[in-house]
Amino acid sequence: MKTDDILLKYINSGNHKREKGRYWATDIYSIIKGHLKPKDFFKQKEIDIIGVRNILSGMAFESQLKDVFEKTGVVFKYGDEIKREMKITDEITLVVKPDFEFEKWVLETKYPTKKRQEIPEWYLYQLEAEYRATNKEVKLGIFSYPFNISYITYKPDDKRWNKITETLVKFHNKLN
Amino acid sequence: MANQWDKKFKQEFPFMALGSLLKAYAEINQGKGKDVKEFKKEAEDLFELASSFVIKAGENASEDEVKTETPQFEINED
Repeated sequence: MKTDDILLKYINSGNHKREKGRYWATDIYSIIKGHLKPKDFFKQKEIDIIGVRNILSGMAFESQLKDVFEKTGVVFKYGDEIKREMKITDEITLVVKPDFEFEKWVLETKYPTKKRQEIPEWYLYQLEAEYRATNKEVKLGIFSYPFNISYITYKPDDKRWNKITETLVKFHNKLN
Repeated sequence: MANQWDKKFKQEFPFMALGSLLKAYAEINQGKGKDVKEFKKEAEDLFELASSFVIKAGENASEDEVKTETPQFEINED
């Protein structure tokens, strides 16, 4: 196998298996924008090599930050222990997993492909869900090279949250 | 990694202002019998004007930096 094949295999074999009634915060933007349609929800979409490289870059930076936190004694929680499952209705659960959690705030990290002047729209819904799930201040951590991280605090928005819940209910009702 | 639209934008954005000005010039002067020599001179003026727009827009963008923070982390010294 060539390197690209290994990278593709690594990312594409680790997709969440989707099930009706259980939705991930990372999918909300795609659902709202119509990029993820009910008819395609259960299809495992292959991520191309450019997407794979972007995802791996973010994972690499996140993994290094975790190591830095651990080795320097930063008090934080990480991984499945900070995963929340929010009941939206009796039938709908929203799964939310920030990258890092601290006593008073949570951190969602991203490694965008270009410098951003603000929080891009496609991150807002995930950040809103993290706020609702944790009831803590949410910061977006933007990685850059050479290794650096810039923090921007997300401002919660009731209208955005209503849009998320309404969209999930509609989407759920359209799923077979 | 930039996608094809990012690359296309990077290649073309310095000329977008000039393109818009030339389009406006064409609409304003349609049917007025401008010759090539006259057009060339005026196109050069439009290029200067368009360039000033691009430079100004760049300055504004660089001033509009992200307002980032430097949060404090609790350290376990044990």
